Amino acid sequence: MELIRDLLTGVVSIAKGLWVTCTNWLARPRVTVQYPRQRRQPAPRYRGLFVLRPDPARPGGTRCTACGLCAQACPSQVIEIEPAGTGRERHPARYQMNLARCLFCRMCVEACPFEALAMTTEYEFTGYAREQMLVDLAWLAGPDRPAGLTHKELAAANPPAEGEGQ
Amino acid sequence: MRDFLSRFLAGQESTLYEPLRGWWVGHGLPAGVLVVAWGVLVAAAVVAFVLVTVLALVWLERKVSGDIQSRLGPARVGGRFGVLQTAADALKLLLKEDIIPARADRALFVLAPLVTFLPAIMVFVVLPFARRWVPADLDVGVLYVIAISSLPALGMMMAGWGSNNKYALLGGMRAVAQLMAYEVPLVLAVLNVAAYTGTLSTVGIVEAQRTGWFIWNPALAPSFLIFFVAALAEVNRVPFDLPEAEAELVAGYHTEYSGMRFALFFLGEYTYLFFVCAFGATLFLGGWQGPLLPPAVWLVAKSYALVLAMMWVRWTLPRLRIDQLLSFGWKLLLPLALANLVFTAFWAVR
Amino acid sequence: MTAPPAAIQPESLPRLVGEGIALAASAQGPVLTVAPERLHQVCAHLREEPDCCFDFLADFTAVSHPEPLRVVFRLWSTAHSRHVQVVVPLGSEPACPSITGYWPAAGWQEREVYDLFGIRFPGHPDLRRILLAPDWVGHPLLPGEVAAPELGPPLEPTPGALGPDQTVINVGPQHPSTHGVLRLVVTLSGEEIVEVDPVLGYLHRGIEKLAESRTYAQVIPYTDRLDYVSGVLNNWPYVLAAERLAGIAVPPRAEFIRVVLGELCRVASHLLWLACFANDLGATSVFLYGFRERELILDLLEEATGARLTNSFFRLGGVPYDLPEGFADRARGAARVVRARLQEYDSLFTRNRIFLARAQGVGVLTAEQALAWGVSGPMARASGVAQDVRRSDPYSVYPELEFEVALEKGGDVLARLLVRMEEIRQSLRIMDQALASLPPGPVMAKVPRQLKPEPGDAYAHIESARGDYGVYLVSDGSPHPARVRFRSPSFANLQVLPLLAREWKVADLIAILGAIDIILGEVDR
Repeated sequence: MELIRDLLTGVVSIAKGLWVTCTNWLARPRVTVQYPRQRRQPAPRYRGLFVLRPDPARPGGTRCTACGLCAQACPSQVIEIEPAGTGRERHPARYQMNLARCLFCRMCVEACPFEALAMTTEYEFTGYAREQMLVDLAWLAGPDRPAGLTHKELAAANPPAEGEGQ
Repeated sequence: MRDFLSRFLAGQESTLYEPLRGWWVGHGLPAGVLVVAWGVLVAAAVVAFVLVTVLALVWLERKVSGDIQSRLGPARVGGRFGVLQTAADALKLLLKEDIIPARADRALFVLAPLVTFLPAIMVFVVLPFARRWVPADLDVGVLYVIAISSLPALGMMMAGWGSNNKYALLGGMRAVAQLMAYEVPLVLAVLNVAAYTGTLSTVGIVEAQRTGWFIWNPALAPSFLIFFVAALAEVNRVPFDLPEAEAELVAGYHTEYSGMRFALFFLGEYTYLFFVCAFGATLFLGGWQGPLLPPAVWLVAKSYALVLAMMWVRWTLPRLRIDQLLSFGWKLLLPLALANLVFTAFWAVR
Repeated sequence: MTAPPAAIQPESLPRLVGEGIALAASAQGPVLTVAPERLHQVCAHLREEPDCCFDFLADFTAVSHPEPLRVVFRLWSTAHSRHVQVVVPLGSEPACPSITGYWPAAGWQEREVYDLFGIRFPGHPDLRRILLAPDWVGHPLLPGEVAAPELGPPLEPTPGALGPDQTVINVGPQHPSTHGVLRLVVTLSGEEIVEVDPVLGYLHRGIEKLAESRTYAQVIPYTDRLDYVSGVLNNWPYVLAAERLAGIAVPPRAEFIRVVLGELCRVASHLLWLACFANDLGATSVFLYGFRERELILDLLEEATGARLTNSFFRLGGVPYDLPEGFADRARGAARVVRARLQEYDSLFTRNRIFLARAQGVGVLTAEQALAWGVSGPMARASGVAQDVRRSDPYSVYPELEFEVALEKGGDVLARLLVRMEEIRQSLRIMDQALASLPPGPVMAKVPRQLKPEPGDAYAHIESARGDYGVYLVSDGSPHPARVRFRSPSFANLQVLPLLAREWKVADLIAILGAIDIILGEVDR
């Protein structure tokens, strides 16, 4: 009789499981996001690709003063900077990031004291060769790049409306 | 002509064969040629139907699993519902490199997929799609099914041994143990129905359900449940999919197979799945009987209902361990099947 | 809030002081400095004295810099809730008696020290390399060693003594169920397991060596990659240890934020574990459901930290940014959904008759075995060992939060599942409380840009999703740590696999391995 009871509880437990899958079978919505036709919008703080904030008044065209704090903060030696000019005119002659090494940890952005380096929500970046993973000043400060969020903007209680939003 | 067509479509009275034979012999052509040609034609039709069904079943499995798991399943290839996905996959498999492991037993390795796949198609010979739409209405139809369906186990063992791979060997041995264990209750359940109706002919069994489907019969309903569970084990589906348990044996007896050979195993599995469901529909759900629609459509619909039930079970339950599986088969299912047989005997003479 | 409790010396310890044995007090408990020839005497005392009762090997490692080369291990007493640290300086000959006779948990730990430092342990039953390849030449963590040496001559397979009917199969390193690259060399007799020998190191990336050439802040993103499904729970012990070393106090708001994110990561980790475990046993739908729920948690983590998996959100002195607006509401919403779905998992999986047949009574670990073998976390609590670092050696603001420690007595696979399911519920409860009591204020303390702590050492441990996760930091006054040691719970817990799997079947091996819950990133480091 133990056997009968065991059998019955077994059958009932299986039936309950079947009910759960049945309810899910009919439930909507589905969680699939059909990439690339549909794309997920990351959160505003998402750690994606980088951008150097433009400043047409400065030499070099960006807010960057080639202080090198970002390169120093980076755990993976991603950033290479060649400074040029002195004092107020100091700017990067060369600013290169090796995104193949990058951990996307955002410590460089946190380190930047001039609100020059920002991180966007872009996550699509592919290439066929390692050289394509190197990005330079022209790409980072390019006219079509999104604005991203700098350290100060991230620290604000509400990320600014003109950044990436959902 | 219209009258003939309607009767033909109803699968009731005649098939194309009689009038054709009449015309053929009437024109003095040798009857033997017609017999052979007709046989080949019917076989081709059955094989074509089976292959198309299998493609549909693979698609259905992926869609059903997607639905149960809150996701989409195939949704790209061939329109919004991905209907051509299986065809694309089959094409891909065909184009793959044919790899035979260097130390494998070539003969066994090459023959195994065939030994597993062919019986699955051969059993369709006695499946009645309509009163006269049976490739061969054998008097011992049920016995034929039982006999042929023991053959895939041999193929699995051949694959397991011939692959020269320990995982495959384990999988093959598990498969044989499992299939033998569940063959017996399956056969008992099926024979129960045969004993009740007094005939081994599949057509005869369906005809005997004119007054009511056997699933509603109190003596035979337990047979249906036993049949369903044993069939799950015969087709190596969760909870009885240990021989090919991905998590444990990588792929069990077909670990070393790739390309078309793997496709044969895969197709064989789904062919056999469809067959047991169709067989179950024949034995318990009244086969081709049903109002309005053509009989063949009814059989296929009932088969698909059972297939969906099997898929539902697969995506819900975890799998049993081999000794639990064997223990369940020999120590629970078999006594139940025997008890059912005795009960049916009493029920039939009450 | 982060100041450790005042060190209580077991009264019997001063009796040991003498030739070759010295005793000192430190902020984290008593430290015994013992010469190798006196080690047995000390170990016996620590194990057997009633007011010592050090029954749990918390950590075991070696330090080479600053000099001298020394073995350092830390013991925990479950009865008295306190640590003791033992330092064994090695002279010209790098050999230290094995302590496996007192704490079997030292088995693999001593192998690792031998592997990376070359220190021999006479008395160890099976001293061979564990993380590096058997033909590796050299010991990477010794100072001056180049971490890219030449390899020895190719190995010949050694035919072991196999009985009749026995065969050896390799489960892994490529295998759907080893949860990473783990190789188990399994000796089978039919379907029954005779012996399991785990081969580790496929994911060894040398983080401990790497950390020695980074600044203290730069190590943090690398810690994420250890237990890569637990996110901030990896950062936590490291920043705690660094903060203790440098005497940094963390603002209260940051502590609460750390708790919120830590518990979210714990829930995410347990959900992933549940999904993969169910998948191993054949219940594929639970796999998808677990991930569906985990998406909600990952979305929250993405909002707050910017990343879904490798969060690296903790910094020395707090967290870099506050939680975004509306986070609390969204977190509570997600918690509601997860709680409801846990019921579903119960009906679908936990109470399922087939699952019970696979899990009940399988792979039983007794409480004594758990402590002796250094097992911690849900695995130990499933065997009745009531140890949870959040309660027994609290850190952060856990003393102010109300929660139950999930405990089961069965010690089998089912018990481990039940403990983790309960922990998900308790974590959500903790998160709710922390969100409700977030105090205002800054989220980051004032910390120098480049940290240069005073020479010394510090140990910090937290309750991670997998158990007692500790970090031992040694500073030499420079901006780079002299030694970073990660005591990972998965490494310690995995050691009992051979013990548990013996005499079960292959299918059970998968269930038992799944229930231990290992992450190879943490095992191999």
